[in-house]
Amino acid sequence: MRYSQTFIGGPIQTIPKGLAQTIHRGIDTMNSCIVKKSKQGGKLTILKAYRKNDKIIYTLQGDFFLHPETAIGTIEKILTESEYHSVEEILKVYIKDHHIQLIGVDVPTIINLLQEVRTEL
Amino acid sequence: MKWRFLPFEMHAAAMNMAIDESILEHISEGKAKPTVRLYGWNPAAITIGNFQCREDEVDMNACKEAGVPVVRRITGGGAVFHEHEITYSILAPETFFPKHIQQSYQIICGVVIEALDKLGIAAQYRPINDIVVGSRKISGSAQTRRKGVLLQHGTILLDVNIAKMFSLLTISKEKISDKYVQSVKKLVTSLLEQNEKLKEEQVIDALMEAFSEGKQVEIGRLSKEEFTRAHYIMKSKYETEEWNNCRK
Repeated sequence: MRYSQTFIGGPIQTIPKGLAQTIHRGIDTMNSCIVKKSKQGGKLTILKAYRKNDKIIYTLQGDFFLHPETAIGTIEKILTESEYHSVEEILKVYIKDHHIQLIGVDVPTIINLLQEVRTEL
Repeated sequence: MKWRFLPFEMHAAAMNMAIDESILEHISEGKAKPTVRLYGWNPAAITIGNFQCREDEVDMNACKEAGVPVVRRITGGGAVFHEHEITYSILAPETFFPKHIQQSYQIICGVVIEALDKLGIAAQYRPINDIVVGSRKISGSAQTRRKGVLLQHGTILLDVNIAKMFSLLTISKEKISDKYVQSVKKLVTSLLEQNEKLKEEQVIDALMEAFSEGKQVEIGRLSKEEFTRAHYIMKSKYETEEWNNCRK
């Protein structure tokens, strides 16, 4: 099984259409991780959080575009390793300095998802 | 610079993705010309986007039962069911296109729109990466830039079977009602719906013509090295659980 730690849980709810901000609350108990979803401009972004060796690991999934794609690893690392209060700034600087193009997702969306996850940790 | 045009061929999903990647590498190394490629899918297949997880997107039991392989792309975007369609790939040094991703989508989608126009179908570009007839999607595409090379691949729907598509993708069962299928049908169209007399060959010719305009083009084929490399990439990447299930 990919996720080893079970968090508190609840059923995954249907995603209401057309909401620009965080629209999904739920715990994926099957995979033992917290899952938050956000839809923006028809693109879906999913933030998953799971515990590994007492550390919360974040992964981003979805049908968004990111150029270069390899930047996803660094973005996830920033989410996982940065202090919460500085994550947004670090992400913005990284994206600007490395000319990363995010399409269908943006930093505020990721931060909102992160906030949602943190309320349930 | 001369472009190479690879005529329409059918391959399995893993090989289709591997061929694109092999060509990308060869262009990057200066061993292949900028290339336009047309292809189909045999058997029908699902591809998922680079940032998607197969277990979240696809009903693997249904896919196994239907003999539909599932492959993860190197490009972003969503899950796509490839059955009755013509797929194109365009591969060229990224300096040939604007740096801004959306601008390059618009340029390449513009060529497909020209091809549709030649077939008497009036289509428009819809950001980020779609082509629509009226408000109904007929083509979607996805792009990556790696090793200095731009790869954009996209689908042009010949025909569409929404019910079959939904039976393979992870969509709540209550959504797969006749009513829901009908509502999605209003959002999607196909070449055959636009013109039932249209033949696949006409579409291929129109695409070849549109992609050739303003370019020096030669009809080509994969080199032996490209094919060998594609076969290796297929086996070592696109046919593996490790790659196809989820990004690690």
